[in-house]
Amino acid sequence: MSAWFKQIGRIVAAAAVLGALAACAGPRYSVVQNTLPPLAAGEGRIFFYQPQPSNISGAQQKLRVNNEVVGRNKPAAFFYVDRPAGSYVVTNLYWTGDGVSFALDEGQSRYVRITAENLGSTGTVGKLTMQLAEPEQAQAEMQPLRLWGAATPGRP
Amino acid sequence: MFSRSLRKHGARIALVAAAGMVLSGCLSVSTQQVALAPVTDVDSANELSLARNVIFTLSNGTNQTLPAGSRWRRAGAIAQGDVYRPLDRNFVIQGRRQAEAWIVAAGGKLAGFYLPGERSYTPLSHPVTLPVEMRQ
Repeated sequence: MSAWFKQIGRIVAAAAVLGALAACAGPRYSVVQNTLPPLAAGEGRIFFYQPQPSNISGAQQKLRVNNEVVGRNKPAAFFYVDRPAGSYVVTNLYWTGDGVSFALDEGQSRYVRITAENLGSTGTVGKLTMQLAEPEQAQAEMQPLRLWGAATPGRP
Repeated sequence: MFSRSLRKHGARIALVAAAGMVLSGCLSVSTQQVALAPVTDVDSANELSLARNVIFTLSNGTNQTLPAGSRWRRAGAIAQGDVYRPLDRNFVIQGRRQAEAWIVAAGGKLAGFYLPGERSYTPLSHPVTLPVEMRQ
């Protein structure tokens, strides 16, 4: 009898963990794309998205916009930051010239597509590759991706 | 025994790191910081379109192509020539970093690229003729 209660207890605990994880997952882009907050005057928006399965493993890496950490990559997720129109370099590393660079116009959205190198059957991931994606391609690929928070200013 | 293995492992890591740095150095394009004087008068904004593909070689030896039919609008000028930005699709050059690139034309030739995200200019090894159709 006590074994039966133990088993029930485990199932309830597992369900609670799954529930908590589900609560952590943000809404899909397809749901929020028309309800994102409008841009402030003089600003543009930079989207970061990683169209890879959520079950690939590997450490999340910091993403920097002009050397400021704005968030981390996460498979099957996206986030965005608003920045004043200007010149931007996006990278995950300080010490190499990797990443992408682009101009951001007022009212414009730019899309940084991130892919993590798959190192084989271990499922682990290595180097991140970034590309400047066309809006149509990015919006199509982002449909199933979930919103993943950007870094809080001052608390990267 | 342990320290020998550690030394061997360390040497391998150093070798791989050095090779990586050499390779990434090879991939980078040479750039110089420039100041873009933007076009402010809308009436003077010229457009051009390419009559055929333009194949060019970057300073790192990489060949890329400007697609036929792509349309560009004059965005301003730098000391090296007139700067045109794409009207339809992004154009990027691939060095170590993928950089958005706007064409720089001088004397009817493609002289290099202005990289607006880095406010810099990268010249071509050999300027190539731009087969353009100008529009006013």
